[in-house]
Amino acid sequence: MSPTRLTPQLRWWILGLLAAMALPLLNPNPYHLDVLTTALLYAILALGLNLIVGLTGLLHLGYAAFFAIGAYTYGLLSLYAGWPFWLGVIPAAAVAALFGAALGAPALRVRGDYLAIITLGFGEIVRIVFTNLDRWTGGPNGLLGIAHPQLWMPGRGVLDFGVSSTPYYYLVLITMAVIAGVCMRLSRSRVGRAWVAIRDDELAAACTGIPVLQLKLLAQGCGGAIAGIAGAIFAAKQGTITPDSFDFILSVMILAMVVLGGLGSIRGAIIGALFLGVLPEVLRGFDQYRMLIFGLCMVIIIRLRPQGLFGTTHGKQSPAPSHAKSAA
Amino acid sequence: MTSLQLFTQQLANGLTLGAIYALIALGYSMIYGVIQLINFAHGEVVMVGAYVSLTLILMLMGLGLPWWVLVIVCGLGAMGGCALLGLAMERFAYRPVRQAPRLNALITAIGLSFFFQNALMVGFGATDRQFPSVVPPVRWEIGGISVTAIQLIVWLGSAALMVGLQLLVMSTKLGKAMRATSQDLTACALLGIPVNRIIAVTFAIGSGLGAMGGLLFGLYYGTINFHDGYLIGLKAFTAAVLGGIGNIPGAMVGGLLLGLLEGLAAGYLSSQWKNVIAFLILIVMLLFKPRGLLGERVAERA
Amino acid sequence: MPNPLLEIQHLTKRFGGVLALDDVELTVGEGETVGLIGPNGAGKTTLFNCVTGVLRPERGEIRFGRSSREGVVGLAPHEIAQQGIARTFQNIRLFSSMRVLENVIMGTYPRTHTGLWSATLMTAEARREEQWARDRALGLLEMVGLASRAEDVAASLPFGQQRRLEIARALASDPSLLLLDEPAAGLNPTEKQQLLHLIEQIKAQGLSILLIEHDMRVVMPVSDRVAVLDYGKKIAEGSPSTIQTDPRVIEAYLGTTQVGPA
Repeated sequence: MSPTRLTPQLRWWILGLLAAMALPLLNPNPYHLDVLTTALLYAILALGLNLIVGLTGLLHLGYAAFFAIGAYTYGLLSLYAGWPFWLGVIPAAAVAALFGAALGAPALRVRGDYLAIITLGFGEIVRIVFTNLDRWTGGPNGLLGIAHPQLWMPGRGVLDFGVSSTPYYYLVLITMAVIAGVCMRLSRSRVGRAWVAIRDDELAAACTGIPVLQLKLLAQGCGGAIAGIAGAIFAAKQGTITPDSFDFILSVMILAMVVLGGLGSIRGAIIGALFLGVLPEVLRGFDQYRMLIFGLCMVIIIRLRPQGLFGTTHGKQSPAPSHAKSAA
Repeated sequence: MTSLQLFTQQLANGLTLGAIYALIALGYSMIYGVIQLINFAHGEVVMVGAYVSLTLILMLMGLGLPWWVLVIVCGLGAMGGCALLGLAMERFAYRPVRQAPRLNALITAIGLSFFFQNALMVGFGATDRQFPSVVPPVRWEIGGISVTAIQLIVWLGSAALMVGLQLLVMSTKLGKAMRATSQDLTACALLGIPVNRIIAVTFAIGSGLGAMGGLLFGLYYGTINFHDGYLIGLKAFTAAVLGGIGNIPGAMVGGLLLGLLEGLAAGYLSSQWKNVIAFLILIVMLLFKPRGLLGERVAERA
Repeated sequence: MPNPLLEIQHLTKRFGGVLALDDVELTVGEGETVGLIGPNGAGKTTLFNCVTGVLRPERGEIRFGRSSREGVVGLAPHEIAQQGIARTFQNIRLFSSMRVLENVIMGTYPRTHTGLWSATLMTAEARREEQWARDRALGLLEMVGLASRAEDVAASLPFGQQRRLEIARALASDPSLLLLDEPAAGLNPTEKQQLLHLIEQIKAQGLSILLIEHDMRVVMPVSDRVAVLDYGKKIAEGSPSTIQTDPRVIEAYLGTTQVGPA
């Protein structure tokens, strides 16, 4: 990993970031900001899932569960122990990371497809558990009255984020930028390369001295931690969380963002998330037909560009069994 | 009702549910067997079958046909329609991505699932739809347990189809080709077996069976909703894994077993947790006995 | 007789009803090159898989080490690699989405330590290790003649170069024992000559080599000893010249491969 030189690529990123930061000043439409904030939150999730699915090649269909665990961890700490957001986000990340790895451990011994189903099952179980443990989690009504983040501004006293869009926009934007930076560092490091090696050829990776199981757990833990952070932010922003926000559909959407962006690509994850995050809003005019068009988009895009926007075509990601083209 | 009678009643109910699961599970199992794809859209195909048979029943109800003719005709109609749907899905959505990484096929399946579910909502409305009671509400009391005519239809219908499928797979040339293709697709292709056609037929049969499952589901529960496909699909997939994915008798056994377990859970625990049962079984199976009860039948991957 | 580095005793491996390895005994000494030959299906790659921890044998001991010889049966593949055994594969298993240089850098994994935190914070230690790994990898690419293709994606290399890349990757971890699984398969005569030259260079560095090969023109010149497997059993062992004229060996091959002076 070369030290972070000011490459042209990095220049573009910084410019993009500055432009994004200037946006609320140029167009303070709270609705637009809110949509973008949500899309950026998705981007954080996509970055996390990208570590698991994109870099390491593990098929994960239950990512929303870690989002939920992060959200509920902060929510519960806020409601029952009065923890402020900036403190609560840490255990949120840690607990989600723990679950990420813990789930991973037994599941990693099975074949790839089965890992997908196990993660799907786990995602559903988490949701059902949160729905049914009324006493602790508020059941289907969820948790209400979670504290918003508060920031002490010099000269202005304590600023409560409240329900205005702008502070959340900046919070999510900066968090995303930091996480993107970390992911980029990781992907170019010994750890990140080892993850990709596992994806490309697990057997060769093991024989090259890479502790495959440990690294798969690490990937799931890191991915979990990132989802946990996103969850805490989500809970703090909404003030209210219900189990229904963390369903399979969300897991699938994040997965689609990672795949469409290109497996393993940081850029791809962010742009894929922005695209798919904003799309339902853009399609709002079509109301009933939204999911229909969304589903169709997924099918068509993956068909036209199998490697995603920024993916490479050289990965050996076990394609379905081939057949001689001459067969009928 | 004595506790034994209660138990046996739950058993009977569970078997009915299980028969439906079995029919749907077969679709998952067969398709996974040939191209190692978890066809997420299968649950929606089942619902399409349910809605199509509902439409046909409503259309033909007034013709004064005997009810069993009505059911059979509508069933065949739904099966045929869904078989075509399955063929279309395979040809236009799945075949183009067969060479791509497996994740792409999964995304395609999920996209199709969204598409069909939404299409059903747009076409038939978001509210529950009632299945008209075309089957006479007869029940028989056998040893204190009641069995309805509908249950009997479910048992007989699914049994007939499953037996038919076994015969097809075991005794016909097509069946042999299907079994060979699910063992080693590349070898079959090199041997001149028209694998594309075999895969297409597999999709057609699997979807047809799923459609029948949808019809029976509609008859048994009386109402259907566009959203049912997701849960049913997941459970049927659990059943397929339970029996051993790719294994046809396995899907049948898995379906019956899951239905039984779910019926018992609903009877003795609360019905809230019965969905959790299905997922727990799934996870436990995959962790401890991923090959299923009867062993999986999937091509060895390099 | 040099110090033994790898000692295999009573190695037995079954696949269902098939006895792939039957009470095999083999020793590779320090600095020795041992050729392993035999008809297809004789169990040669299975032996490699047992040594590298990919397969678990039913019976047998495999000891490895310079000073103290530890049993390696039961260890995970990455642990065995860390101890100093590296291998190539019959069907070439590269990290195809990575660049050539990165593939070789991957090979240095057991000799580096940068973990999650050091990587994220990019400590001085991490940067130093990274530089070391890069330099070592470049040096190995020069040795195998692929330095000019360092930045190319591994999958884009022609077959012969991919083989050399795999060898470079195996050498990156500074192993004491190198297992080569049919490195000459699919190479044209020029490439085979280059391979021989490369093997000589590796030998000169003091590594032990266990070499599976069908082409006698490759095996015989570089091997100090040759062992012959047939149907899972070792049927002969000795110097290259002895083996070439051994009637049992000739019978086992029955003309499918040339057995005789190059």
